[in-house]
Amino acid sequence: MSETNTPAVSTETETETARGVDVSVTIESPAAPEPAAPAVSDAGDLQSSTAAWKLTLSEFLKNKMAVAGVAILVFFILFCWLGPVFYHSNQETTDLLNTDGAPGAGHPLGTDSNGFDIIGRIMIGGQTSLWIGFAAAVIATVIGTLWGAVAGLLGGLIDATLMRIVDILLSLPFLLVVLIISQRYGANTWGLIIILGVFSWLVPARLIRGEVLTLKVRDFVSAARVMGGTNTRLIFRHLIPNAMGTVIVNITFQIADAILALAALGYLNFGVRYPNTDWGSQLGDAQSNLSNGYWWEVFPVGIALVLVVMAFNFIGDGLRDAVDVRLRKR
Amino acid sequence: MSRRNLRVLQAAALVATGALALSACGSSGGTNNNTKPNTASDYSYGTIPAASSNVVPGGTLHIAEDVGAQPNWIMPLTPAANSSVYDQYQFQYLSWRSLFWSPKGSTPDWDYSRSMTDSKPTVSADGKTFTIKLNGKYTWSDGQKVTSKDVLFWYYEYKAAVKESPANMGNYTPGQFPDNVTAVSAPDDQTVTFTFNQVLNPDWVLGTEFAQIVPMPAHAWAKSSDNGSMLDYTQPANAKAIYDYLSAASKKLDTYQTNPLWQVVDGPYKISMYNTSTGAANFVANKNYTGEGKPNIAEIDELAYTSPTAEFNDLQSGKLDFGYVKSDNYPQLGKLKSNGYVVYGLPSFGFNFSYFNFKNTTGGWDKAISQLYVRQAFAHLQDQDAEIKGVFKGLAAPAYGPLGVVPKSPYTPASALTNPFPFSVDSAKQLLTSHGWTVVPNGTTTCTSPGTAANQCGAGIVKGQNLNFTMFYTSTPKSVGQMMTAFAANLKQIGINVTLKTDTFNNIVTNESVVSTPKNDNNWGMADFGGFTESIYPSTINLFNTGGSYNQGGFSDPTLDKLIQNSMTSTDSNALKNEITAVDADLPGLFQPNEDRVYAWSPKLSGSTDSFAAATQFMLNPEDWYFTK
Repeated sequence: MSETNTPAVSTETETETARGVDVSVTIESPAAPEPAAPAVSDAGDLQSSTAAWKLTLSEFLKNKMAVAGVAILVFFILFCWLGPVFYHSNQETTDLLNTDGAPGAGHPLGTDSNGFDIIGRIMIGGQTSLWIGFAAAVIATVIGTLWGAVAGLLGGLIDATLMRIVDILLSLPFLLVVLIISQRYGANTWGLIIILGVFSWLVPARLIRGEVLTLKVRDFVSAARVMGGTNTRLIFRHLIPNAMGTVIVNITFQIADAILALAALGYLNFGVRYPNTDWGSQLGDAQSNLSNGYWWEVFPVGIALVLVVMAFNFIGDGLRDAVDVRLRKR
Repeated sequence: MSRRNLRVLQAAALVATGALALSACGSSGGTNNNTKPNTASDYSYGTIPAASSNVVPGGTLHIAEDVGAQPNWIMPLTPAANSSVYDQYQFQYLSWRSLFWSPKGSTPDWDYSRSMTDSKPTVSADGKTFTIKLNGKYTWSDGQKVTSKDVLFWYYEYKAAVKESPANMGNYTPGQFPDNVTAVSAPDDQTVTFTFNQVLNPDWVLGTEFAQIVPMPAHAWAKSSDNGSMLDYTQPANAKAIYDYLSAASKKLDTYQTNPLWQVVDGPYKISMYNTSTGAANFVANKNYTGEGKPNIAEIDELAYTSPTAEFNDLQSGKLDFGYVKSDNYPQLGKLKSNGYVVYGLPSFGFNFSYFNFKNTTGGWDKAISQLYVRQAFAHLQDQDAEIKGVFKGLAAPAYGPLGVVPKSPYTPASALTNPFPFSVDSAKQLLTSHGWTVVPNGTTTCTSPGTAANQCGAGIVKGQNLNFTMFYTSTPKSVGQMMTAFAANLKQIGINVTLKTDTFNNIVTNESVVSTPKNDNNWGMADFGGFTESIYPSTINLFNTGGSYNQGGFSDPTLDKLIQNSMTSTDSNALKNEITAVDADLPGLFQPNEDRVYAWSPKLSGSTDSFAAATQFMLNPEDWYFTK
C-alpha cells in the first residue's frame, strides 16, 4: 500500500486505458471502482477494499477509548429510546404540587421545576439532543462536503469566491447568528436541525477543500478527467469517495459540536419547548438550581451530556486514527 | 408603564414577579420546597425593621434593575412601547415627581406628604371643573419653583404628543384625557383648573386622569432646539415642535448623561451616567431637592442584569445594597437572612394575567376565542392553587380578576374572593363538547358541529377548526415559564396544542400587542408579559375597554364598555364593583396569582418603613434611605 499525504481510506493501483493511450495511474478509491482492468501495482501490493475496511475496523477496535465511546453511545441510545419502554413516567402532564422534588421513592432522581420525573426527562431530552445532533451534522457535512469539493476542484475565481464566503461566515459569531434565527423562527426540533446544520458546514467545507486540493492532482483524477469525466462525476465518483475518511471522522465531531450548540441554545432558553425538551433546556436553570441545592436537576443531565459528547469525540479520534494510515502505528 | 395611578404595566415584574415569590422558607437545597412559607394573613413575608437613627450621610447605593426591563425613556411623557413601572417608577420618578403621589407605603392610597398638593382637587358645583392647589413644596434644581405653569406645560405637551400619535402616551385613550378637557387655566402660580366636557366621578378623575400628571420645567424645556428661545407652549404648533424636540432627545440614550435638559429636575436625584449597552444608570443627589425626604445617599447606581440569579448572586455577595429576589432563588432566602440582609415581600396592588389575542384570524382563532365558553374552558385549566404552592412556594395570593384577594380595596366585589372557574379538566372538556367540539385528549380537538345554536361551536367557527395557538411569554422570571408550561400541559389534555415561545418583557409588551404592533396580530394567540399595577380607583379603563391604550389583546365587549363608562361618570359607589365583577366573568385574559414582590437590603441600609414597603408596589424612595454606622 502506498502511503499518501492525506488520510485516505485506502489505496490501490490499476492501469486504465484512455483514448487509446495506456496510462498507469494510482487510484485511491475503493468506493469508486473503475472498469475492471488488470491490476498492476506501481506503488505496492494490490489490496482489496474489503481488506482495507477490515483493517480500518481492526485498527479502530484496537483503540480502547474509541471502543469505550461506542459503548457509551450505544448505552445512551438504548437508554433514550428503549428506556421509556421499561421506565414509565408522565412527561406530558406537569405536576406543580411536586416540583423540585429530591430523589426518593417514585422518582429515583427527583423531579424538576415542572414536576416531571428527571430520569424520564433525560430519556426524552436525549432523544431530541441526539436526533438533532445527528441530523444537523449530516446536513452540515453534506453542505460542507459539496461546497469544499466544488471549491477545491474548480479552483481559481470560483474557489476564491466560495472560500471567501466561508471566511465571512466564519467571522460571524456562530451562537449569535443561531440565537437570532432561532428567536425569529422559533425553536422546534426541525427548526433547530436546519439552523444548526445550515450554520455548521463551514469547517467541513474547509477540510474537504483541502482534501480535494491534494486529490485532484493525483493521477487517477487526471486520468478520469482525460477520459472525459465531468466535474460532477469527478466529485461524486472520485473525490468525495476518496475523502470519505475525512468526512466520516468529521461527522462524529460535527455531531458532538451540534449537541453542544443545542445545549448552549437550551441553556440560553432558546431550546425546544414543551412538550419536547432537550438536555440543554434541562440545564437551562442550572445556575439557580445548583445554588438552590437542586443538584438532581443539573448533574444527571449534565453528566449524560458530557458522556455523549465525549463518546463522539472518542469515536472520532478512533476513526481518524483508523483511517489515516500515518496514524495507525501509533 | 406608567401612570402611577393608572395602571401601569408592571412589567415583568409583576408578572413574572410572581416569580418572585419565592419563599421563604426554604431550606436551601436538597429538599422539596413546597412547604408553606411563613406568610402573614395579608400574604406578606418578613418584617421591615424600624428606621435607625445612626445616619451616615453620603455613600453609593447599588440597586438592581429588573431583568429584561431596563429603562429606555427619560422624558416623563412615556410612549406605550416604553411604558413600564421600571421605567417610570424606578427611573423617571427619581428626577421628576408626580403631582399626586401614591401609594402610601404599600397601601393603595394617596400619599400627600410626597405629593405637590395637600388634598384632593375641589370640584365645582356642576361637577365638571376640578381645581388643584399646589402646596409649593417642590422646587426645580435650578432654583425655580414648581408652578401651575409646569402643570399646564405637561398638559399641552401631552395633547401634542397624542395628536401626533396615540402611541406617544401609554395611558392615552381616545376621548379621554386630554380630549375630554374643554378648558385649562392657571389662575395663579399655585392653582390649576381643568374643566371636562361632562360630569365625571371625582375619584376616577383623580385616579385615572390626574394621576398621570408629572409637572415638567417649562422654563427650561419649552423650546424646539438646544439653543432655541422659549416658546409659547399653549400654541399647538409650538407644543408640537417642543414635543418633537424633547421626544427626540429622549430617544438619544447616549446623551442622557450629557443633555442639560435632563439636569433640571424636581426629584431627589438626577442622572449622571447611562450605559446604552446594558441600560444601567447612575444618579447623583439633587442638592436643591425640597420635597419630602432628604437625599442623604450621594449616588445611586442602578445595575443591569441578564438573569435573576446573577442579580441574586450580587445580593449575596454584598455588591447590591437593595435588590429583588425572584422565585428562581427562593430557596436561598435563608442565606440572605444569615448574611444579615432584611427580606420583605408583599403582593402588589395589581394583577398578573395572560391575555388573549382577539384579532388573530389565523385558523379562525379570533372567532373561537371570542366565545365566552372557550375562554371559560381555558380558565378551568389554570390551577391557581397548584401555582401558588408549586411555583410561588406559597408566596402569592389568589387573584381571579383585576382585583385579587389582597391587597384589599374598598372596590373589591365579593365575587372576586372565590374562584369562579376552579381547576377542572373535566369541566373544560364538558364546556367544549357541549358546544359542538370533539375533544381528543392529547390529540387535536376540532369543531364538528359548526353553527350558532346553543350546542354548536359558535359564529364564524368552521367545521374541522382546531384551537391550537401560539403563546409568547416573558423569559424571566422562571415562574412564568412554569405556569405557561403547566397551562399548556393542561390544554393538551383536552386536545389543544400550544406552541410556546419566549421573549423579553420589553419585546412582548411591544410586539404582542394589537395596539402597538398590529402587523403581528396573526402571529400569536395568547401572551404573558406580567401584568399591571392598579390605580387607587382601579377601573379597568384603558385595559379592557374597546380601543383602550393598554388593551393589548383587542378585547371588546359593549356591555363592559358601558360599565367602564359608568365607573368613569357615575358617583354610584357600586359602579366600579359592577365593572370589576363583569371583568371577572368576561375573561379578557386569564388572571394569575398575585405574587409577593420580595426585596432584600443590606443591614447597613435604613429608612422609613413606608419607603421600603413602597418598593413592593414598585416605588423607589431612596430620598428616605441612608446608610448607618
